[in-house]
Amino acid sequence: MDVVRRNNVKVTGRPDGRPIVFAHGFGCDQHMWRFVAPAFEADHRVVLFDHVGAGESDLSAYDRERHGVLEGYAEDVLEICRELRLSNAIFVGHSVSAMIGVLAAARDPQRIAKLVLVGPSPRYIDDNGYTGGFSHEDIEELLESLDSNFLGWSSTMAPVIMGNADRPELGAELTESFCRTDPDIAASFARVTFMSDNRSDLGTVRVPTLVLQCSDDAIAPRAVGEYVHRKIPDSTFVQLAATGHCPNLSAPEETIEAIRAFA
Amino acid sequence: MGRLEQPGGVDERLDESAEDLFENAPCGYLSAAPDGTLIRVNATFLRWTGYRREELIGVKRFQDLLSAGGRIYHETHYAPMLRLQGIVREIAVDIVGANGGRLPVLVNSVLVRDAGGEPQVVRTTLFDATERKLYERELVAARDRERLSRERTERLQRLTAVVAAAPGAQAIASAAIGELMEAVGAERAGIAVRDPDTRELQVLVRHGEVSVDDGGRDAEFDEGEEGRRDAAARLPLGAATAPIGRLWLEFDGTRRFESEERGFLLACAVQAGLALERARLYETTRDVAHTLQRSLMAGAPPRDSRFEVATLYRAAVEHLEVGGDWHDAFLLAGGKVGIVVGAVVGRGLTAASAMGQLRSAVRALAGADLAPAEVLGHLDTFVEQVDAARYATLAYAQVDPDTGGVAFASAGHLPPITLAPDGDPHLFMEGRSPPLGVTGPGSSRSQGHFSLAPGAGFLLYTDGLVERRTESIDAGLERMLEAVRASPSSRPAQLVETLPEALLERGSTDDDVCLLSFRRSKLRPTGRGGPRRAVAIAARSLAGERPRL
Repeated sequence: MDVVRRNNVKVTGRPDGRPIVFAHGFGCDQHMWRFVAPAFEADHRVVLFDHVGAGESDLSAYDRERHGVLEGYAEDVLEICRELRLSNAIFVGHSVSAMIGVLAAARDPQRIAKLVLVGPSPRYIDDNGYTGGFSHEDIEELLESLDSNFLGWSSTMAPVIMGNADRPELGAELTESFCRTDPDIAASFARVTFMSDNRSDLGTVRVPTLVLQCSDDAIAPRAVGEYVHRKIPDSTFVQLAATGHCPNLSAPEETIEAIRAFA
Repeated sequence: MGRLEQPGGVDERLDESAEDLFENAPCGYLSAAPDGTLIRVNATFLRWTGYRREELIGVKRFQDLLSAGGRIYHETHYAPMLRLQGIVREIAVDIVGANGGRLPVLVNSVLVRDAGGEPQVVRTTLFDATERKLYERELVAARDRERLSRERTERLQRLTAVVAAAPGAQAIASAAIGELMEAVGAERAGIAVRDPDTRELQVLVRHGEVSVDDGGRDAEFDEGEEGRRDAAARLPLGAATAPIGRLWLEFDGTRRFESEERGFLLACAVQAGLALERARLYETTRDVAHTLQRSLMAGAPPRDSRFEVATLYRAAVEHLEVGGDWHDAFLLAGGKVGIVVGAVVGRGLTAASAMGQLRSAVRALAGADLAPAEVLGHLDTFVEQVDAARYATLAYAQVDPDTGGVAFASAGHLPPITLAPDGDPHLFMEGRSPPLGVTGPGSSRSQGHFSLAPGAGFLLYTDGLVERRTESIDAGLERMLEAVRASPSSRPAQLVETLPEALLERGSTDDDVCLLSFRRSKLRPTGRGGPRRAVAIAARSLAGERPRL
């Protein structure tokens, strides 16, 4: 299997620099990092990739069983690390990829030696004394929301993405291809993301970890970020001024500074 | 509208102000800061949602007006896309109004940046999508129904295939219940078939404490009652006109049974029932065949102080049909003993009845005081009339327990193994000729002779004991000799136990195994040898003088 093609892996930066891997969260692809990743190219070997099912990954590599749990995605990440012979890498995971990084680092701390968790949440659904911020009904509503949004979208994106020089009007659509994913896979990924419970995995992390917490994050509230910080032994908590769930887009400078200070 | 037709052009009063165009446009307008904080909203939006302007401006963010699911979608899709491409089109979300009601809308947004490229403001239009949403719901529901229906068809096909492959009623019932419980998410289930004689239901498989009823032909779908009674389906098993039993499924809590689902469950119960019925018929036939086979081989070997005989017959487990192997041992006039092991080609009732006929024929011919080669010669004629017995193989030994003399003839059968008094085994390769019916009546059969010292014996057996698919028959025979040497005792009763154990591969049960072990007693009983021996010698000389057929 060609891991590089499977995950649409892109490597830039200094070949001999310390590797830094950026992992996107649910809903988008590696473009999420385009305001952040270039800042690390001078000092680091920068690795970007799309999770299977997202962006320009190989959709045929999607495996319902393997990708039905976050461990499967963590295994994908470790396979990328092995393929690129990365060691001592810094893994920057946004949203659900924060937990994917937690699982991967616990399995192979040689390859993933530092973690940056951007807007992490080990469990989105409220549970007996734990506040994740969402109820089961909320998640069902999200799935419905996904459903009704995909309905309006053409499912034949492939030829468009391939581009067509004699039909320039397709160029406009091409720019809107960010964050488009196969509807079935997106629904499964949403389920895996929002139904998972990785609270007990936090304690297994042995590598230095940075928790980046946004202000007013509707997906991962501050209490959740603090919980992650409390449970990961060697972790640092940094509160960003950036609002929302995507500081890598809304406040790239602040995000870059925080990562750089830790890396 | 009539005014438009006035000569002189458009009515001046239609020259709308931009303000009114904005406030009362047929769509909602929102302007928000990059973080979503609302800066301006139009009157249409306020009318639709029931908010007052001061409740929104500078207070709420756009995402605060969305349902929880929509908020997640906003954070994970809408906001990133807007940042990345500056424009988002046709996003479907629900706006939660002031009184909690929901307004489905389609959202288009543009991100306005300043000269330095920094985001300044997000302009959004919202279109009422209530009708579209309803239509979409119908489409989604239709798609889901179609998918469910396809899945049910696949389930039914799989259930039919699974029960067809399951060996026996128990396995069929287990497989059917397993498939069904998974398909409809039942918590408890059971299957029972009606005993043909007592008419009582007999439970074959039961998962959990399922409550059973005897509703005969009626299908009952009980949707249950909240907190009082769990939902259940109780269905007739097999063809609706003549059900052979009952199938029960129980669920936790209440549950609706859509008509498609009812049809699916009934179809599954029919398939499971038909498979069980087939299995029952098959088992009946097989039982008849086994009974027949046992009765055909009935009769314990003769008990006599001059020799010991032990036999073993083990039916192949893999085959539901009976095989055509047999063994026989009987006393002949003049104190001799007839020892036979044979095998008819094929399986099933035909093979079993051919075996029975052949076995009787051997006894009849042997009883007529014919030598072994002559017996085989007459059998060649016999199989001309009994087609299923043709190509049978057969080993016949005529033993004189008083002298130890053995006359032997084999029609295509595996060679006997002779055993010295110390248990040392040898293959006896004489007296061999082709299987019955190969050469046609009238051709001569060869005969061999060996003699048994007191305590010596021999073994007759069928190929199931020595043959393996992966090796030559010689290797099998060599293994057999080795196993005999390794046996702690060469007593017949012991050998028929130890040899199959040593020779048959674990789990290898694809052929019948038939084994007969004969041993001449060590101590010659006194007072009986004289006259018997005289008769035996006379009989043998008589046999020698008889012309061969």
